[in-house]
Amino acid sequence: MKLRGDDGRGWRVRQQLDDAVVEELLAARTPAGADEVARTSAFLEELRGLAQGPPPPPSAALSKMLGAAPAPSAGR
Amino acid sequence: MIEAARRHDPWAFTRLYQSLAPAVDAHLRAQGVREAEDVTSHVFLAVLSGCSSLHGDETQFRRWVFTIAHRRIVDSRRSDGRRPNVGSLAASGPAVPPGRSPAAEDDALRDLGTERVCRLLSALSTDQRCVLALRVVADLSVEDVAIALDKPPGAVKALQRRALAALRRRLSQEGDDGEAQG
Repeated sequence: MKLRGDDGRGWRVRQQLDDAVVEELLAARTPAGADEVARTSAFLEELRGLAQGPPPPPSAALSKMLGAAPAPSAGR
Repeated sequence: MIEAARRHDPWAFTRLYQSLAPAVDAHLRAQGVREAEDVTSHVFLAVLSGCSSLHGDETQFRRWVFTIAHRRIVDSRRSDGRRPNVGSLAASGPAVPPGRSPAAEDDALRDLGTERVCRLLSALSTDQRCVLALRVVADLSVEDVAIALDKPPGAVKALQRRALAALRRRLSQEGDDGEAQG
């Protein structure tokens, strides 16, 4: 895996990521030999962390629906 | 669990809500949906009313839930008629369940993190942000995102590639600015 497009001019360069690098990043792994995308990897970990909290309290209508769901069917 | 939910087993509904609601809520917030908690409840009301007719495994169920969430996002954008409110995630922060009070320091640190996430996400287009959140927050595959958004898999791949490239540029800029100030 490699990154293409770096020409030494920092963030302004065209930064093309190949599919393998993209999938590594999305899987919360920093691609081997690609330290320059470590910041992106860390950001994705932050983004992933947003879904790790507790569930929001259900609305009154949803609470009612959850509580009013019919009893399990016979035979369970 | 999915089979039990189809039979309207309350235990199964509660478990599904506990396992999927945090990701649905985070996805809605990442898209700038106002009152994401309320919309999350609307999503799960739709799930409850429709799951008895759903056929498929847990992966398909998860995709279906996020497809419903995506429709709610589209509805929200239409009714708002504006760009996503990227500050909503940071403004609301993660919900705290009744009876639980995490330390104020933990809350403050978490809010700082979500503010930064929102600011960086605002650099992306609506489609890029949506694809990225569905891949990362909802943990859907390219194929599942394609079905949820009704786009070809190739288009999803292109959007996620451009999203990551834009983020990389933004993060590099942020790093350069930090070094210049230091």
